[in-house]
Amino acid sequence: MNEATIPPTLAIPLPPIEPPKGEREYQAFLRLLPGLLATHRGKYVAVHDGQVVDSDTDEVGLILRVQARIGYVPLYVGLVTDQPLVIRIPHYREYRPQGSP
Amino acid sequence: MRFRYVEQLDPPAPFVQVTLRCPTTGTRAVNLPAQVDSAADRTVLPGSVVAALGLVEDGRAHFQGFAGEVVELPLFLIEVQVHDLPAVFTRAVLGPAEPHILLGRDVLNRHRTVLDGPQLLVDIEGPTTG
Repeated sequence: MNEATIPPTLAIPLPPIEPPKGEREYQAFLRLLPGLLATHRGKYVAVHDGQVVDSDTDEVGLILRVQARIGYVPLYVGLVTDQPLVIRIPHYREYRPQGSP
Repeated sequence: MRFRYVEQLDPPAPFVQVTLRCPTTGTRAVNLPAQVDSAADRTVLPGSVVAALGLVEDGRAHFQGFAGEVVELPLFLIEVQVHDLPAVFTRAVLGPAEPHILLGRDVLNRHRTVLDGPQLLVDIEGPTTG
């Protein structure tokens, strides 16, 4: 009679996935948001290396100023609000399979 | 400025020519076709355009499409110039699957745009200041 042998179970460790810098800055903004609502509500803040580095009511001016200072690298500039906006782009193209008239 | 509808699309669609410029690096892409899309809250850039200009994101926002799905996408500060009209700043969004630029109301509302469907013509003027 054959004895069933159980093969060894191999664990496959995956290296941690580092999110891109823009995503990290956005996550930092979300972590900082509760405190920012008390100090910067209604303003745009710029987050770089996990910290607020500048703020303004003019988002374009803020982006240009911060990029002039730190260089053209990914950052997060967003409005401090507890009612985040969902932007609508209701764009669809009609799907026509190849060969259809 | 007057443009003819693109008749390769069915039904024909209003397009204009735009030049995009990154205000920080100065990189430009000239005379790109952009579909006039008054249903879009925000101007959309195809991935190929973002790559060609070497844009890096300066923010993120949540976007809702036709079927109601909401996705998080990166934003890019960009100057948009319709033909030789004065340029306007906007924070455009990446449209990974879009074949063309979509010119949304963030830019369109700075211009006077007339769509003449029967004649397949789009007239665009402006932009307004402020």
